[in-house]
Amino acid sequence: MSSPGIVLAFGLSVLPLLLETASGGSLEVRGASRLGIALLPWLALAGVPRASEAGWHLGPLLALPPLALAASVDARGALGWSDLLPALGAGVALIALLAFAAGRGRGVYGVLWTVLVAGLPALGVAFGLSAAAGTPGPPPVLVWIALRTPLGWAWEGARAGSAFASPAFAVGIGALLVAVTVFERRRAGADA
Amino acid sequence: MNLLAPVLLTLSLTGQGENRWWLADVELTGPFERVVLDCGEEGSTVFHGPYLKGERTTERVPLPVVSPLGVTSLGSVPAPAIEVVEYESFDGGAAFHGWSAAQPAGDWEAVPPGLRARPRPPVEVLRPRAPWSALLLVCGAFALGFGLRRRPWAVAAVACAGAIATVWLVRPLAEGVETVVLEGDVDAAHWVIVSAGAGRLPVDDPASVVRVESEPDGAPLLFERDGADWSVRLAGGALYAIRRTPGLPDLGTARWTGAFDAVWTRDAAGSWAHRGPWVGGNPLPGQVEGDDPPGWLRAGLPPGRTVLVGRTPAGTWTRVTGVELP
Repeated sequence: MSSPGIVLAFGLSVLPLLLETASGGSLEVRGASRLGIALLPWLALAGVPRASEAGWHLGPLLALPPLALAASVDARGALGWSDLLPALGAGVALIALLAFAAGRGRGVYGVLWTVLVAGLPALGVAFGLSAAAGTPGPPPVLVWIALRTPLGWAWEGARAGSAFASPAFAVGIGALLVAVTVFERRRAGADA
Repeated sequence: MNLLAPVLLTLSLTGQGENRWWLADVELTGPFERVVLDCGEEGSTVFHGPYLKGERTTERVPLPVVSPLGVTSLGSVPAPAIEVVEYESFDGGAAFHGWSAAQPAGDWEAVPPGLRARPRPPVEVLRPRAPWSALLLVCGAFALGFGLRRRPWAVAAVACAGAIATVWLVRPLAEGVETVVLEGDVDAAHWVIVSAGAGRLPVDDPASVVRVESEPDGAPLLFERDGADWSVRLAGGALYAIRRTPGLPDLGTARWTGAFDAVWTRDAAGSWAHRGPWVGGNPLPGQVEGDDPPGWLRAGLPPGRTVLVGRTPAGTWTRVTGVELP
């Protein structure tokens, strides 16, 4: 992750917790998971394609304290650590996979990231908005996939507020992106 | 209380909220690790397994829905969305077979209105928020780690230490049953036992539960079953589980059993008297020097009737109207 990206993700992940405490309750997060909310900016920014691979580890490491704080506050509420620890671990692993792939990937990675990480959840939201306006809802298969992408998984966990779904599909997408970058690197090395 | 945690302390002294304990018939088929019956914004009911392959039961399951007109409108409440979590195979499942014909809410109607209308016990509600100390710690750890970004091992050490210290600072809030009160009237055939608590409330003897309420009213509740134990969860709110119990209509104060470490009486004119400890079966002791009972136990009682309030050594309360006083 780039330095501005890390600072931005940190700020956005801490801001809801800060507002909740500073407002004395008027901006309270109710019925939603703070861990899910805190994961969203990290997952959105970790995989943004960039030119340099240096410092990829900074994002997942510096995400740990704010995510641990969000999970701890969730644990004071309706969520148990048996739900939170796997979600926290999967979230940090996803940030690491996306950050690792972002610095190494080139053309194919950029396309895949745009479709799988940014595009599908955005399409799902767009369909949801249009459905709310009275048009037919999104195809069920698209909803199924969108809610299992990294951002969709965190968003659904944040919205549900009771338990996180299995992160297997989202982690699979992260692993696929890493595999693509490794393949791209090898092919570029062979061409050279 | 964690003095470092900037939690909001509220005391709620409330009347009655919506009933949230509505039973449905649900068929569960193993294997699964967990089944979630999602009632949308009203909450969910979660069964923790494991259920084994071949295990198949039909259960009466409480769902935390809101039925504005009680039993009458229950049929129009949507069925819950069912999510089955399993790891080994895709054979497990759950099916909603409709709302149970016999609802405990019907038993609640048999309780006299005077008992139903009594105010609920106060509950100390601690809201789940990040303490300032933890927020400052997280920001400090981030600033330090970011400053050390050219030394990966130092960043890792700072981040891990920051995360562990944060978890330690944000310890879980106290939760569970705070107050239990037996509400009765000597003329009533049915009495009620009200258990009140914050955060998480164990539901003992779920078959006798007639009502679950929350403060704030209508908040999303989580009913959980782990083994044979049921509990209700609500982050940052008060919970009340109400059970119906047979009344003791021929009760005279000389025939009480059990022991109280303090009893108070109110005569028909409304004057309270502290009578000190009392062991059932003995005559009620005379008035002694002492404070009145807590304010919430004096509230919501019918005027012109006698009252006996007792506190057991275990800290539970008894409040009965219409007793014979010497």
